[in-house]
Amino acid sequence: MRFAQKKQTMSNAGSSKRDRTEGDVLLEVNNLVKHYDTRSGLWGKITGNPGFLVQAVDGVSLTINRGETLGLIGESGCGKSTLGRSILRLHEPTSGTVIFDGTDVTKLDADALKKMRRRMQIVFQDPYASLNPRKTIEDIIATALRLQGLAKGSDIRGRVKQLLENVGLKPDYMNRFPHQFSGGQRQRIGIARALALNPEFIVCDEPVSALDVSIQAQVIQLLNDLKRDLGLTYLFISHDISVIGYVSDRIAVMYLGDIVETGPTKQILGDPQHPYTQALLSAVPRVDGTGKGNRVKLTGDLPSPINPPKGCKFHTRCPYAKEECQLKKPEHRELKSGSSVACHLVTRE
Amino acid sequence: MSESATYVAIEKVSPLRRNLKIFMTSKLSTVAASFVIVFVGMALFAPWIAPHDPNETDLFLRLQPPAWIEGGDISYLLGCDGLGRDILSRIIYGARISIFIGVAVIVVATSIGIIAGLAAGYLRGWVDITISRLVDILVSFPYLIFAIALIGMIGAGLQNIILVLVYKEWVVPCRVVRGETLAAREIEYVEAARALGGSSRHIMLREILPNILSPVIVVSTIRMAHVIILEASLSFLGLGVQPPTASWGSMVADGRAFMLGAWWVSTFPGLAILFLVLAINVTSQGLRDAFDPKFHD
Amino acid sequence: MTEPQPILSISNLQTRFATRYGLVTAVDGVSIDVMPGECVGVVGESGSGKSVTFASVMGLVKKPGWIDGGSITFEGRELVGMSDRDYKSLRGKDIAMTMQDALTALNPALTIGHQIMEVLLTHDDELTGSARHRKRGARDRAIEMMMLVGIPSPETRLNDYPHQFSGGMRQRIMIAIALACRPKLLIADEPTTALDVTIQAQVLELIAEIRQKLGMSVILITHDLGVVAEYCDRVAVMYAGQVIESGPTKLVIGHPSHPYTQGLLNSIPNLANLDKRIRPIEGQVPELINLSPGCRFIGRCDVHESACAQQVEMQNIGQGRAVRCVLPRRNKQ
Repeated sequence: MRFAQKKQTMSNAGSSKRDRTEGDVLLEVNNLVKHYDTRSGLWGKITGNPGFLVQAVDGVSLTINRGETLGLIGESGCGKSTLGRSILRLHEPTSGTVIFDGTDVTKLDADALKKMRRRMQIVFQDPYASLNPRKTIEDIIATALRLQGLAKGSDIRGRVKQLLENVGLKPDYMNRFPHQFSGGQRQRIGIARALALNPEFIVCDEPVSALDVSIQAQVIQLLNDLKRDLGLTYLFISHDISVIGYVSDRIAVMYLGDIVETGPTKQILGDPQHPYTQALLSAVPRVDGTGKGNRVKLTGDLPSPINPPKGCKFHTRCPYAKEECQLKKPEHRELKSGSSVACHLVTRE
Repeated sequence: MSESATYVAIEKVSPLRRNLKIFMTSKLSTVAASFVIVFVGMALFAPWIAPHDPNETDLFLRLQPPAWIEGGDISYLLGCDGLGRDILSRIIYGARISIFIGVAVIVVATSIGIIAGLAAGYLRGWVDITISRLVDILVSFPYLIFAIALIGMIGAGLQNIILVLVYKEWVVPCRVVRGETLAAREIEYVEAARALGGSSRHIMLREILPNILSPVIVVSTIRMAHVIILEASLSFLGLGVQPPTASWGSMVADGRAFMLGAWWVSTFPGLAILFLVLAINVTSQGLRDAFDPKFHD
Repeated sequence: MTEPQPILSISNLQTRFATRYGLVTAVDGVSIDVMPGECVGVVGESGSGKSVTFASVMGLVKKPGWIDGGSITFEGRELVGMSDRDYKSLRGKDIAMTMQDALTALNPALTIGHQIMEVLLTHDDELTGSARHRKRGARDRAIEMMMLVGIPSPETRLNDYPHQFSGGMRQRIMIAIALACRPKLLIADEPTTALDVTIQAQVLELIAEIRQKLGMSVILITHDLGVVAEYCDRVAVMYAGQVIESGPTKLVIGHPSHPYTQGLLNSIPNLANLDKRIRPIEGQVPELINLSPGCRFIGRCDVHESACAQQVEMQNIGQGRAVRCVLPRRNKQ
């Protein structure tokens, strides 16, 4: 059984260094909850439409250090996009705190929040929906500058030109409309827009998932170069494990609104502790064809976040589920290797 | 790393010009639109085009037939009405009423409707609840009867007609805008604007509105035809613009007594209504097709 | 002893579209052979022509597109120019195709039981007797198929509608429909692109299992080289409407010959070796209008020569491999 094997390699794993945690903590998320509640009590009973409670993000805590990329991985419905947006208060968190560089973002009033937005930005997944089709590229990027009062009049043009160059686009593309560009180019425009305000932190929400493979590589490289040159910090959300593994310093694995495991990239990919992480990694088809033999077969579909299983949410699909798993939700435990896991069956240190 | 130059920009035009080009590919729509422009021209240049003073009566010319019928006169091309007034001139001046009211009502109603619809669709909450309930209440009244009742209360006349018609008409664009806004607010570019610190006002007016104008324009054009018919109906009933001002509706009413004999008195203003409304309807179809994303890349 | 014949043979296929901007040659001289029982992967990005190629095979290319040349033979029978009626008896019965987006490919207004049974009632000669008898037979077969593809409680779920299933289940339903009449060839167009990776694994395993059981040939159209590496015997790599490399999967992926294949492999992060920097291919896929006669990868290739500006044909380079390049080279990884 896999778990027995894991215990054996424990001693080796413990010796691997903690990956980069240089720099202080830039972002600290504590017990963030985002529920969508359309249940309407009596009215609902009358109309026969009781509504439902979607527990999109169910008490997530994580930290991101300055200058690092935290990869957030999970499958559909796990809440990773909602988490990213809740951190930026694009969705209002139901409860919990988000401490950015010492300030609790969730408590800021409208004006303070607007100013804070300069420091935290987002790049979206869909290159076709993330740019206003009626605006020129210049207008799209200039809007950022104008909204925040960062540049005026003729300065704006110059700044837009510079931003376009930084993302590898010709400045005279400024006067064109989004429909005239390819998916990869539109993503670059989206990145230019995110950079317009000189942010420190960017949530990259599946930035390459909608692109062709060869273009993905271009955009990934661009994001990495920008991070290096501008000293950025990323929360990189994706369902593509290879991409996450490549760009991230640390990885957090999400399942149905919970983070089940976090740790340094090499640790998570090399020695995953949580059964879900193990299954996820084993399901990735490998170019060297090595994946097939070790597949952990998960049964059934992803449960819906509307009616998540009780106890440990993964127990319905977990090959090792015990009785305890159905009753009690596991707590996170810090391991010596630098990972943190929420699973009843991980008893090692 | 720079972009390869092999990407060819297929079209360098703005979305607006693209729509115009597509519109013009339909011959029917272009013809219809030209018709509408002719009517508008008629209305604008009435004092210069109309052969006679529309209100000048001449009892000797009473019920004179159109020029091609025996007894007619070419200088009174379409004949004269019961008071000896030149029908052609009255039709030309009548175009002013119909088009002015049509445009005025639509412009005002659409403006109100857009603001209400945006607010309801984007801000949701009690704003949406209030506006939606108001819309529902207004919609439940039948249009013409409601208009008649209101006119009965505040009296007839040009201003009052416009008021009454706007009162009911704004709910149409409001519903359209609200629906479009509900959809648009979920699209990423709106989220992006919020992430950049955009206020609700900015998002509603600068991000969402430009993208939902197409269906609003189409609906408003169709409704304009509707409003014109309504105005004609009200004038027909004597509740519209008052005599001696010529309105096509009241002209049709005037000719009722002479339908069997001097048929031209009712027929020509009736035809004017018909053609204008038809032209507007076909144009709006063309607009709808021109804005349809299917015809784009 | 006669040489085994391919079950599907696409030979120099040309498919064009007349668009506002000009003549687009979506498929330009594509040749692919599929042997009985084999699984062939077709890899390509947007604009590569992979989907249009197989839409052509299925006779699904309609105005403003048409097949302008070449031949497609299935079990020796020529498909190009075949009448719609003949095609209808072939589709679903001998050749079946699944689409990428199961939600839009399935009819939302019909139960899935109906959709599976429809295929059976149209094609299956084994169902005999009165209409009611046939229907019952079809229903039993439909339940059988649903069990085969792993849909739980098939008897009850027969009466459910597509929207009541998850994405992975819908893909399986499409596979059930495709396989209901036990086709000889399954064309799976991006069967897992829209799915989560754990579901993806389930669906691919299912296809592999069924392939073994039925001895079916499979064409797997995908952009994911990992999927190809694990499930396909041979692979054809397409770029801008042409096949630019083909051969046994292990060889093509292990030692790619064409610079594009190589570029693709270099641009994918390798989980086994994350420290290796990915090297993106510069530039973009060219527009498919007014293409110059030479190699289409020329603008993005770092080793092109003057000979590349002339028409380049596929060359056999041994071991069952072919490549469309004047400089075939062994990649030293």
